Amino acid sequence: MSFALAAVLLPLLAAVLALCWRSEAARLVWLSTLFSLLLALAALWQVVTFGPVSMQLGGWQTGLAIRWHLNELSALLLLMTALIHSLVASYSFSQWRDAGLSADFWPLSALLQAALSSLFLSVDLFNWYVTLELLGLAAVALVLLSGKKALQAAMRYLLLSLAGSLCYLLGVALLYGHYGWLDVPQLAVAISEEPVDHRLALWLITAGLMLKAALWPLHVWLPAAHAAAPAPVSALLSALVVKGPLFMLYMIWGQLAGPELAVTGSWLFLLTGSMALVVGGWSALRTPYAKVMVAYSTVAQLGYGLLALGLMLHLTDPAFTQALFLFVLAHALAKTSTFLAVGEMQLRLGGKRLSTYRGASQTMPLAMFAVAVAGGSLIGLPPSGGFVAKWHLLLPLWQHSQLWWLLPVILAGTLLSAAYIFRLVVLAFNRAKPVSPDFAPVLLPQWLALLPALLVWMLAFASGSLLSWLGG
Amino acid sequence: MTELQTLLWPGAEFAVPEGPVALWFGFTLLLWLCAGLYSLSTINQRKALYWSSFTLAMAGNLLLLLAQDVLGFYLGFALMSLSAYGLVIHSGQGAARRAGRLYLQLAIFGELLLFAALLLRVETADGALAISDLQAAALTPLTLSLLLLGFGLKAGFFPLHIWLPQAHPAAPAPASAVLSGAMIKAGLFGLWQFIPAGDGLLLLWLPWLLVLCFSSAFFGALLALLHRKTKVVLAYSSVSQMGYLLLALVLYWTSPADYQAQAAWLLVWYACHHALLKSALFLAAGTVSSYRLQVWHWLALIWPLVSLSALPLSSGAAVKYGLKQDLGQSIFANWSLLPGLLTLGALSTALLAWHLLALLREQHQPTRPKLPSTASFSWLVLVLASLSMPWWLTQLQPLWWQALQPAAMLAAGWPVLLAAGLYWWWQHRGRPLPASWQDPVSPALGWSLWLKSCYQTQSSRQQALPLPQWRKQERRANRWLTQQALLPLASSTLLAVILLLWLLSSVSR
Amino acid sequence: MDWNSWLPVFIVLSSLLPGLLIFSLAEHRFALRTTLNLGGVVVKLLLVAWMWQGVKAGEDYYFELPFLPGGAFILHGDALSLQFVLLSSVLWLVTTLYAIGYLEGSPLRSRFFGYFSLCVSATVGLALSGNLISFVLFYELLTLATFPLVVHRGTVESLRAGRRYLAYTISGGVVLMLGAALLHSLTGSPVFMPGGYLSPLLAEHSGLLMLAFVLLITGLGVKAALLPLHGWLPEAMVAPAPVSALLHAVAVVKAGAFGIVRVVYDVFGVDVMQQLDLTWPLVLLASATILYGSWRALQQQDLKRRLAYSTVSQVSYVTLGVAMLGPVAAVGGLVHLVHQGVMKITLFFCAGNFAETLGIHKIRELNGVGRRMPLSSIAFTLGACGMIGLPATAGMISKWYLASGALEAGYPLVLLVLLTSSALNAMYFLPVIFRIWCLPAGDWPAPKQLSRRFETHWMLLLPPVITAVLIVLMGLLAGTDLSPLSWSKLIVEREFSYD
Repeated sequence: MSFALAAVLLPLLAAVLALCWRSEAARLVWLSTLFSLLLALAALWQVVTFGPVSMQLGGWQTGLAIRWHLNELSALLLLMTALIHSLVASYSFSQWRDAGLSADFWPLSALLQAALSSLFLSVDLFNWYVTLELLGLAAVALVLLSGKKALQAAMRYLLLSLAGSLCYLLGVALLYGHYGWLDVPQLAVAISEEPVDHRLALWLITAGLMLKAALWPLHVWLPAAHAAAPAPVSALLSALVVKGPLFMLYMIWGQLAGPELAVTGSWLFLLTGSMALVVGGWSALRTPYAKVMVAYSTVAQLGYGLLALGLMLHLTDPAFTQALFLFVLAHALAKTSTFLAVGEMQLRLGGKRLSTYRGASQTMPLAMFAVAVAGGSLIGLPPSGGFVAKWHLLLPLWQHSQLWWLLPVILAGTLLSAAYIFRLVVLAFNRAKPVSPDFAPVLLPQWLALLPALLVWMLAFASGSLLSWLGG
Repeated sequence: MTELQTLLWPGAEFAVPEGPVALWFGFTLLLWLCAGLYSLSTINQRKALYWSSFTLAMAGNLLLLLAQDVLGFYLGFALMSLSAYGLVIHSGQGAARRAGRLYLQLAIFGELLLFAALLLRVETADGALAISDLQAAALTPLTLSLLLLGFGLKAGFFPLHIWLPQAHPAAPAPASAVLSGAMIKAGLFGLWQFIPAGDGLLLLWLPWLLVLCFSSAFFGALLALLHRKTKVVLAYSSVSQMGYLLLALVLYWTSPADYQAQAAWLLVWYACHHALLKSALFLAAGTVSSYRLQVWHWLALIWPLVSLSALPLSSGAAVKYGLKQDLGQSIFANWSLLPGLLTLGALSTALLAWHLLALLREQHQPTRPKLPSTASFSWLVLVLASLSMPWWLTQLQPLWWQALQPAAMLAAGWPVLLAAGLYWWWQHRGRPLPASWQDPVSPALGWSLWLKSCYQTQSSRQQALPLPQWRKQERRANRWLTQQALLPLASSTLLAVILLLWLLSSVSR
Repeated sequence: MDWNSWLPVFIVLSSLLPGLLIFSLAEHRFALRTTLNLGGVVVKLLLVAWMWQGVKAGEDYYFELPFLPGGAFILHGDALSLQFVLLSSVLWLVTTLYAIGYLEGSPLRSRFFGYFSLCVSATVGLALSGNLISFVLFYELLTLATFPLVVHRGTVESLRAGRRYLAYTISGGVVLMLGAALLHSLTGSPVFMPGGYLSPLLAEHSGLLMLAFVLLITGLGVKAALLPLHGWLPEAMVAPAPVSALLHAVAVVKAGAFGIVRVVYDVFGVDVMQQLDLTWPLVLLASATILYGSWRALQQQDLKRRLAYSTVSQVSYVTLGVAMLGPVAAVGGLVHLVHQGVMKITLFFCAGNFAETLGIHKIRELNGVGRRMPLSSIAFTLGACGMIGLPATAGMISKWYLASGALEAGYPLVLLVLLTSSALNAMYFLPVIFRIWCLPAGDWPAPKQLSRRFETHWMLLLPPVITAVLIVLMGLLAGTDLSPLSWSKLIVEREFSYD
């Protein structure tokens, strides 16, 4: 537990220090991400070796205290957070001055990491609210780093995020008012002992979280915000921030909803997930802007998460839990790589439109390669992480033939993702009129953008142990 | 020679020919060598094309005679057929190319039929690939018709002869010589080797085959009389003679077991006789059209005609006598019509010979250059071989002597004399034929052209896809989504969703 | 360490590692790049030869790495996989030579050769993959590795072709994955075994098995260019000649055909196929493709397009052979896998030579090429004769076995299909040969003097000559122990002698 605690506190400390000591902020935060990666690894090792642990912060008893729970799942998500942060920080550190990234990025990103890590460790409704709020504010601030042009998108993000938080808070208040518990396991016990109609609370919480996680049809703020933000920020937002509320949805629905309600709720997730896959994919295919395309791809990919969640609730099959979190992991890595590479190319080639990327396979081969490799995982080509996730979604699905209509949906989603990824790749191979770079491309950032993509392809060969940790 | 199978294709087997096949091999080889010698001094252009085709076709022809297995035979047969295409189109003129196209179309078609036929034969024989093993397997109607068609297209008997009168005039003289002398015989050889004698189905079909023989014999002779180009006349004469050869084969198939060897020998003698005289005639026709003939050349020209008309002392008389003898031994012995038909055939052949002689004389021009000596030599060799056939082929001698009996001499002689009279009368007293009857144009070239137009079409242009109509709507929707206030939209969606869920879960409760 | 189990891995790596190294090379490092390329080829050939003699002696090469639950990542060298491995490695050698000559002086060569090696690695991996999961994995990798080669020229046409290629192959890949997932959910993915592993499920899940078969064949049919799914292949011929050659002969279309062989014999197995009555639809589909491809080839005026449609037709011979489920037909199909590869690669090499040396793309421009470029023309003629199935060429052997297999398996109409296809082949190849040899030389679009001693650059000339000689040797010496025919017989012996 101490390792996990340290992994949360270290970024917090770094954020404070970076605020005070602006000139060394970049180095400080970068180092802190690397160390927190080590700490997260250690935490995972600890959990795997000694089993899950709980901890009461502040020494108060259960019910009042902030309770943190570390099991394999949360340790893995902690590790994911630290890993993505260290990758993004390394990328930013390699060229943030060239890229015109504001120095405020560093403390804010550290704050983001701290908030997200504590979210993954919490099992407490109010604690989640606090971290969620922190997360949202940090994210909005990060989007604003782009300056004026991001103002409108950031404001929209802020407003909707606040609305979501309010919804969530309302739901939590309803629950707390009736049961007097905020701790999720305790609450679950209480609900099972005294079943009253808590559906409104659950639906309010769900709506709030869906808004925060930009799940279809509440995704409207996401493409603009993610596209407007600087590349490292987009990577963090797409890869990590939307996963926080998704994790909460999983925990809340998995533990608080009774079996009947779970089936009803599952229909919501299945339908919205399917729509997200198809509509998000279609939007990504049709947009003329590169980063908007990647952002819509996030909307679409979250559809897989929703599907996995819905199926888990519908069929009460733990195999879908594995699928859900494999998606989360694979998508985080792949999307990091995509956003970093696309951002890097946008920076060097000087244009937001997809047509800017004409001939990019010649001018910036590594970055383009990163997009293609990460795109392979988004599509779900073997042996990438995305493939393993999709495989675990498909396998149990074959055994439940009543949901056969999901197969064509997944097929369509896959084909759409292939279509938008390869739309970009094909453009990059156009040698007729290549766009020449405004600045000389530097190799190191491109390599760093490629790194997560390579990691996601290796994920497949580590899937055995991943699955056993996620197996529940 | 079983070890060949582990080296070459499966079942590969070759053998030095013996008996009748050896003779067949011998005259084929002689023909090719003489034609080659003739070509050496007379072929002056496009030598690479000519010689590569010539040697490949020769190799194929000899290979099929040596092969003891199906695949080897097929290899030789196809090699010969396809390479001969180069010989047909050698001149590169339009007529040659048209003839070549027809030839090639039919050759390929024949190859395919033959492939199917051989395959079916092998299948009936449980996968045995040696030709000798196929003899025991029974024929099916499909196999038999495929065999007859496949080999018949090469052998060129009526009605499968259509390429022959086109290809022969187009090819250079020595090429026509081997084409007519050796290659169409290969078709007959194939029939002989692959159709087992005495097969039940075959016996049922024999009367029809007999009809084929005689119609081929008369049709060829008749058409030859209508034509005025020497090589066309020769080609039709080949069609006619292939009818007799087919007859010899039919007689072999029907002959009783103790007589079968003799019948086989007769078939080969007939083939050899015809091959030698026909190639000599083709060389003659080629020579006449572009060289000056000397006196002994005329002798060398007349002897094959004599032999063709089966006058006594010639090999023709011997084999014709043998044919009649065969007929007497066969199951058709008491079909009284047949001897009469044979006599009529002799008459028509004699007419043809006179016609040919007249045409050759007409065509000859003394101002042309002298024939090179190597060419003369090769021609002479062929004529001498034909002349002396009974002497180096001692087994033929009894027949030859029998043909010299007065009765036989009379039987062989009077049709020739009658033909001479008739021909003379027709030329000097008779009314000339209507112009439309002379040199009738074969419809085959038209068919060939039609076939070509089937497979050499121009591809139609691909049409461009129409611009999608939904693009405009999509743009409008996008504009609306980005410019209208999103906040009310999102919040109303949110509220609607919550309400909907509320209702949904109440209903399900 | 057990060398035998690592051998398949080394065979895959012997092209993968040079490929990755080549990516990082600068454009002007010609010597180093060539050394890496050819070094990889030689090492691969040696390893494959070693494995060849081992498999012949009955040795087992099996490598396993945990990957997914119920389905490890397996590389397994058996007789069938070796057939394809041998074909790919040998043709990789000649194509590499050809590509070096073809691309001399053109830009982006490192990228080209990098992807080229990746493509071969994927093909070899696909051949060696020991279960369905590994197969799917390499199948998708192959799609990705070939795409940059198809669009290598980067022109508008090649991009259009590339897009089309991707649209088809990715969809096919996804469908294949669905099918594999279905089977995996039923039994997991055990190692391929002669006779298949699905017979225990027959009683309970026959409907699902049929669905899985349809999905698998649809997925594989895209690459094998089965009838409604062939649209990408004729487009993809805009790629550079060595790529078309490799695409049509080995890498992509053969991957599909090989996959069909695997699915029919080693996943479903003859018994299950027969009991589910799946044979005749496949035979029908393959026959229709054969005829349709030949028919379309007739109408093409562009040389490479004509060759492409010819591939559509010829690859289905393989499918046809295995679909008929008889041992003799299987020999025909398997041997055609190799024969078609060698013949088609020759034709594409020659088409590339004509285009490079004289600027010829259309068939009507070929007049009289025979005298200007005799060796290439001879090679082309031999390849075309092989395609028609004329004797003394490899094509004859496969046609013979296919046809007698059809009779043996009770599909006499297939014989008619084969004959018609041969006739059509003759109809579209012989006029080309006629133009080459028998017409006087026309105006060639862009004649170039690429070599002082030969008709074209020697590196462009050598590969088609080698493969043309191979065509004749494989036809004439089919009975030897080294011939593809004998090896196919060995495969069939092992595939049909289970239980």
